[in-house]
Amino acid sequence: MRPIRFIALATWMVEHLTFGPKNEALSGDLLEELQLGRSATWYWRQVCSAIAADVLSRVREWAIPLIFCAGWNSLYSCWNLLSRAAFAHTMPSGWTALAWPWSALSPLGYGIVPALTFVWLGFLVYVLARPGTFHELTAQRLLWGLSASLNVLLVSTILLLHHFRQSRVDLGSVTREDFYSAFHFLWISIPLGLSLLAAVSSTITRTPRLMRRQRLSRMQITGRIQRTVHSGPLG
Amino acid sequence: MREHTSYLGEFELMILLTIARLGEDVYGVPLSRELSAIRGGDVSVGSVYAALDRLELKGLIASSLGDPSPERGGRAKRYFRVTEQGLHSVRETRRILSELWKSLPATGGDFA
Repeated sequence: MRPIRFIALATWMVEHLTFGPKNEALSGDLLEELQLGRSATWYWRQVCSAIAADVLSRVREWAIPLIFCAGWNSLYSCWNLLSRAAFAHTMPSGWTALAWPWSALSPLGYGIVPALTFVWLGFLVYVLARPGTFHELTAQRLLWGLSASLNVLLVSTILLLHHFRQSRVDLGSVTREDFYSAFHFLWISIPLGLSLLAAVSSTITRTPRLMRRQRLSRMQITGRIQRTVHSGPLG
Repeated sequence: MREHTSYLGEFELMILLTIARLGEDVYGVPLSRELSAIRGGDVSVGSVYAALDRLELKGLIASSLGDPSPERGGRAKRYFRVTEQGLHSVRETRRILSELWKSLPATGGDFA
């Protein structure tokens, strides 16, 4: 007698730990092979191998974007040296004299505008440098990438400022020169990296995959209804 | 505009050729069995599906869902077929490989 519970666990694993749109077809194929006389050991080996293959596939998919984001981030100090003068001149000096919360626009502007420009420039370089990416990029995905990067940058910057406050760093005494110090560059690289990754991830060929997932989930609903009629001993 | 070419890996090429060889109604089980028979060893169904996923994202194959069946625990089969782009890619890979094979010096073996 086959260990039905272990097989059910393996089936659950292959359907939930592999993220591709074909996981149901894959588990169906494995169950069909099991019905044709394969052993439970073979089944488990196939399940483990499928999960490993899927993880490797995801790693391969994300490796280049991650390496690019890390590499581009390391250029921020150079970018800042080049751009600080330009951005300093573009910020209206009267903003600092305004009452809160408008006075906050000035430090935010000094930090966010060069950072956002850097991130979006990195995004542009990535899109132009990756073969095939530019042709696949629609206006909708481009806008999604830009807005996602802006949101991630703002949220992660706020969280970072909150962390500084928790760490008893007096932000009121941080001067503009401090803002451009190596210590700050190290911390700033976190929101910068996350923001660029958010933008770049929109170019990963996810849309067809997601579309197929949505299509598949609709089919799975139909399949589940039919399964109640067709359900066999392994269902 | 320059056409973007997808280069095929060895396993991807084998899968494309096997789908083309088996013809219509190819799904995971016969595909894995045929690959195992040709290669002379057990093939991981998961790695076949990972390659199928990549090939479909490149537009070299297309798939469609069949009906659920009891021997599969009520799960549907996914049928695969090679697209025109896939056939073009196979032919292009064959042309490139043939060129490379021709340039290999024939030392102590038949490379033809």
